[in-house]
Parts: sequence; C-alpha cells; structure tokens
Amino acid sequence: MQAQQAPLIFTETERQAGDRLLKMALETDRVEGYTEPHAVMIARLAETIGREMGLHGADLSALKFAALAHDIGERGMKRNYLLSPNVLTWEERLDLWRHPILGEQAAAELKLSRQTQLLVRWHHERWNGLGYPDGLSGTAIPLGARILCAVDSYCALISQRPYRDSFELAEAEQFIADLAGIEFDPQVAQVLLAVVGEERLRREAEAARQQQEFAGWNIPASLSESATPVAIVEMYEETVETTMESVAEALPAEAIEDTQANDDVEAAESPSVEQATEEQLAETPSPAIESTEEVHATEQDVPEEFSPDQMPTAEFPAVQAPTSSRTETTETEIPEPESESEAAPKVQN
Amino acid sequence: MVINSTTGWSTTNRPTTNRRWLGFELSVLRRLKFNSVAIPFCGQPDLGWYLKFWGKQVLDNDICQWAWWSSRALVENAGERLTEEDVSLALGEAYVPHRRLHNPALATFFSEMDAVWFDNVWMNIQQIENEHRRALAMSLVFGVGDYVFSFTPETAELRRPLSEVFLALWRNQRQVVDNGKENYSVNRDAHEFVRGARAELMFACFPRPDGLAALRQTTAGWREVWVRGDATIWDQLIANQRGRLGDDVASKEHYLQLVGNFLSRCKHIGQWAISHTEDGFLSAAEIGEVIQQFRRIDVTYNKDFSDVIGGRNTFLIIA
Repeated sequence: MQAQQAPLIFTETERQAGDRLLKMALETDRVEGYTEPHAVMIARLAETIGREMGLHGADLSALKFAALAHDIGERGMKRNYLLSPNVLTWEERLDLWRHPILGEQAAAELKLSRQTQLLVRWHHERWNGLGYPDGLSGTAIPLGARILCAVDSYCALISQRPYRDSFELAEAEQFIADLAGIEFDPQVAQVLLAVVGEERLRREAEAARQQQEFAGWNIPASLSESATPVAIVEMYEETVETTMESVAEALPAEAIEDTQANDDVEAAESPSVEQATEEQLAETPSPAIESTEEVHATEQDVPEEFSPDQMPTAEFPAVQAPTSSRTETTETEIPEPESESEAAPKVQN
Repeated sequence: MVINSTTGWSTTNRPTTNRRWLGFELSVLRRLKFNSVAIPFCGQPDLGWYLKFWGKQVLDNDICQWAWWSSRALVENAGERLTEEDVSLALGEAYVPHRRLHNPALATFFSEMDAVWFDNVWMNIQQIENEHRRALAMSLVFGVGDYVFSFTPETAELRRPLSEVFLALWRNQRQVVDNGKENYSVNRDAHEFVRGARAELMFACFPRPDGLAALRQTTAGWREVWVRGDATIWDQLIANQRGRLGDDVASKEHYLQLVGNFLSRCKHIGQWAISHTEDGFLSAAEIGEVIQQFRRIDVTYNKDFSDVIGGRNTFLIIA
C-alpha cells in the first residue's frame, strides 16, 4: 500500500517521542505475533486517512502516536494466548479487552498527550456500541479512534496471524465494506477503501502489465519465484549487453557491417538497440521474432561462463536486431495495455 | 432524531441513546464486594451483561421497552440462542409490502422500503414463541435500525440489504451466559422498581435533566415506536413521568429534588454506586450533597475524558 510503504515522517516536535514509540511499537508487534511492522503500517495509513478527513496539527500527531502505541497494553499483559493458533475463548477475550485501558495507562506513563492516551483507550470502540472498553457508539467515539479502529482491523486482516492466514487485499476491503455502519464509521470506511483500493488497483495494473511483459519470456526458475520483476529486468539487461558483444565477436565482418547498415537505416525511424531493449523490456516482447538465425548464432556462441540458468533463450530480446519488419511485427502484436480500471477488478462495495 | 421524509436520511448526527463509560464503571465496581446489583435505569444493558460474567445476580430495569427487551436478551436470558429457524422466521418475506403498514409511524423514521422491512420483521418476530429468543431477535433489529441511520447520501453506496445486516449481526452477536443466578429484567418506573428490589448494591446512572423528551430524539425514539408498534407511546411515557426522575426540568433545584425523592426510596439497598457525568449543568459535588442527605459517601472515583470533543468528566460516587 502506498500509505503503508510511504515513510513515517515525524515533524521536529514529534521526533523525540516518535522515535521512542517506534521502538516500542516493534516490540509490541513481536509480542502480538506480527511478522511485519504492524503498528508502523497502521500509523502510516491512519495518518493518510486522518489527513484526508481533515485532521491536522496536534490532532494528527496524536493519531500518529496513538497508532504506534495502540496495543502497548498487550505488551505489558504478556499473555500466551496472543500467539495461540486457536480462536480465543470468551474468557480470554474478556481478559484481552483490558488492554486498551492498560494501554492508556502506559501512554500516560510515557507522558504522551491526554488525547493520545484516550485514542489508545478507544481504538477498539465500535460504531454500533459493541466495542470495548467503554461501549461508546457512533460519533461519541472521537474521529481519531474511529480511524484507528478501521485501520487496525484492515492492517490486521492483511497480515499473517498465528491463528489464520492473511487476507487478500480485495478480501480485506470487502470485509471493511461489509462492516461499514456496523463496526466502522461509514465515512471512515469510505475514505479507507478509497485510499487502499486505489493503491491496490495501481498495483494490480502494474502486476498485470509486468505479467504481460514477461509472458513470452522463458524466465529461469531460479529467477521467476524469488526475484522481483525489477531484478529480473536488470539481470536481463546485463545479459543483453554481454550477449551482444558475443554476437559481434562471432559474426563474420560482412554480417556486422550489414547489421550496422540496418541499424543506421533504422536509426532515424526506430530506436537503437539499447533503447529498443529497454522499451521492449518495459512492454511485451514479441514471440514472432523467435526463430531467427541470429538467435541460433547467439545460442552457439554463448560464453562458457554463462550458467544454464542465465543462458539467454530463444525469446531473448537482445538479438532482436531492430529491423523495420521486426519492429512492425512487434508493434502489431503487442496488445494495447489495458487501462487501470479495466485491468483490475473494482472494489466491491 | 430528525428524518427527511423524502429521502429517509437522518439529518442529524446519530445520537447515542445513553452515554456511558462502561470501562470506568466496571473498573470501579470490580473493587466493591457485592453478590447482587439492582440497576434502575439500565438503558443499553452492557453493564449487566458484564456483571453476569463476573457471577453477579443482576436486576435490570428500564421504563423504555426497547431497553427492557435488550436486557431480557442479554441479562435475563440464561443461555437461549437465536436459531436458524428463528432467523428464517424473522426475515420471511421481509421486503414484501402489504396494503398498509401495521405500524404507520415507521414511515416517519424510515424510507418506504425500509419501513416495510421493519414492519414485516416486527410481525414475524411476534411469532417466535420463546420470549428470550424473541428478545434476541428484537435486539438485533435495534442494531439494524442504528445501521440505517449511520449512512448519508455520500456513504450510501456502502449500505447493504437490511436482511443481510440482520444476519451479520446475528453471526456476531454477543455470547449469552448462564451464571447460575436468577437474573431478571423489569419494565417499570424506577421508583416502583427499587421499592421491591432486594440487592446488595444499586448502580444508578440518573436520566438527564431533559428527561424522556430528549431521549425521544435519540435512537431510542424509533426503537420504542417499533417495539410497541405505536407512535403515541412517547407522549404517554413523558406524561407519566411528570414529577419523577425522567421528567423534563428547567432548574438545578428541581432536578436535585427529583434525585432526592428517588434516593429516599432506595434506603433499604445496602450500597449505592451513583454514576454522574458532568456536562455543565450539574457538578458531582452537587449530586454528592443530595446523597449525603441520606448516607455518608465512602469514596468518589473520577475519570476525566474531557480532553477530547465528546468526552466528559465522569464520577462514580460510592455511598
């Protein structure tokens, strides 16, 4: 999520308390069994939502601090059931329901503002009054606490927990949408869904575009699972340069001249080899140019130090000498990238 | 609550029926030794529900029937659960309009289709024979009504069909426990209730000085009309409370007089826990003076929530 990935920035006045809370938040996450920095994720997203809903100044600072410290009460409780893979019993739940009050006390000991203390106390209050500890409902719950409640739930859903797998982003959004007006303030839910939904659509469109781009490629197994698309692209780019050098060494002088002549011809109309490589990497390589003599020449002349995993394959775009015919083929076969709204499913509200 | 009759949208912020500071109240009550508690103005019966978990005998009372039914569901009920058959019965043909609404007053609170749903579901629920299961169904419908009033035209796209909301609430309803005690819920005037209540502790959160007339403007307004199937009930309730706590008073002196009258009927209950939230009208010290006319105040606990909008300075006086 953009809001979650953006750095958590403290103003000059916030920095001292913020840095201290950040360390405590990471410790609390560990106690709660989060494998990711949950509190930081909440703080980033809550700040974004809060700003969208008009909070600023001390109110926004209090929200950010409360997000970092929201489960500080659990840290002190040190209950084993927090890491249990089982659903909590009612007795355990009632015990756990004390943590916002303990959190408020811990926030007071840390000399956080009274507003921050109260937001920590009320971050589990629910819109319909069935939350805890005070059973507040509706707009009697301060806006900051309503934001914390929704964001905490969303971030918990998309995180791996000891008792369940993480939800898909779209599933988590649906969950929030379904409980708007029940557990969550509909206005907060709406802004939250807009923020995370927009980011998810952007990510899905990007993933779809990259998937399309790599569709015709025979990506080595060692790369396909572990490496990021960017890392794969970088590795291919390095290989492209090396291979082009090998090709140049292997080809007879006339062939090189011909190629260069072709390059010169194309230079005015089509991109250079390097440009073509970069741009074609960014778009979809054309399977239509697979069976060429240059490809075979490339395979034969691959230096020995290339491991099989790194070996360029028939789909390798580096050998796409940018002749006009190939360029045309490529252009005609590359489907138009879908717009974001078409490429990814819409948020189901 | 003001409802736009054309759109069905609430034109005011959703008010709460009874502002409580449950966590604070429970943390104080946890320090007291008692086996049974009488709660004359229970409102939403969350406190009783918690106290049941602690093994206390709870005697709940409220003059409003919506609160009484809610208390029957959560406090008096010793473990009955709403079954799938009950839910099917409650939601049967919920959206099918009849020639006219059984309770026409619903149209003043809800849009046409929503009014049909609430009307039909009310009639369906009357067919559930077990009273505690009926109470559970009613308390779920209160949640559905609150859901309706949560939305504005701007957030309307998030609204779900009401039967789905009912099902969602049913799936996540509170655990009902049997604590082995004879807990009961009463729908009487508080003065009559305390006269007959035999309990070791009385917990009281007095009605506000603007009384039932103001309560009518909150979510309690539609709930009472829906439960009783009659819009005129509020006028009767308000008229019946003349000269008693719950009446609409204009002065501090009058209000404290009503408080004194009420406390004079509670002398037989061994310990009192009086919750008071300062809202600019009456201080805890002034309430304390009235209490001291009857017995010594042991201790006063205070929790200040007033640093945020909507928060208040709250006291719990033990006497």
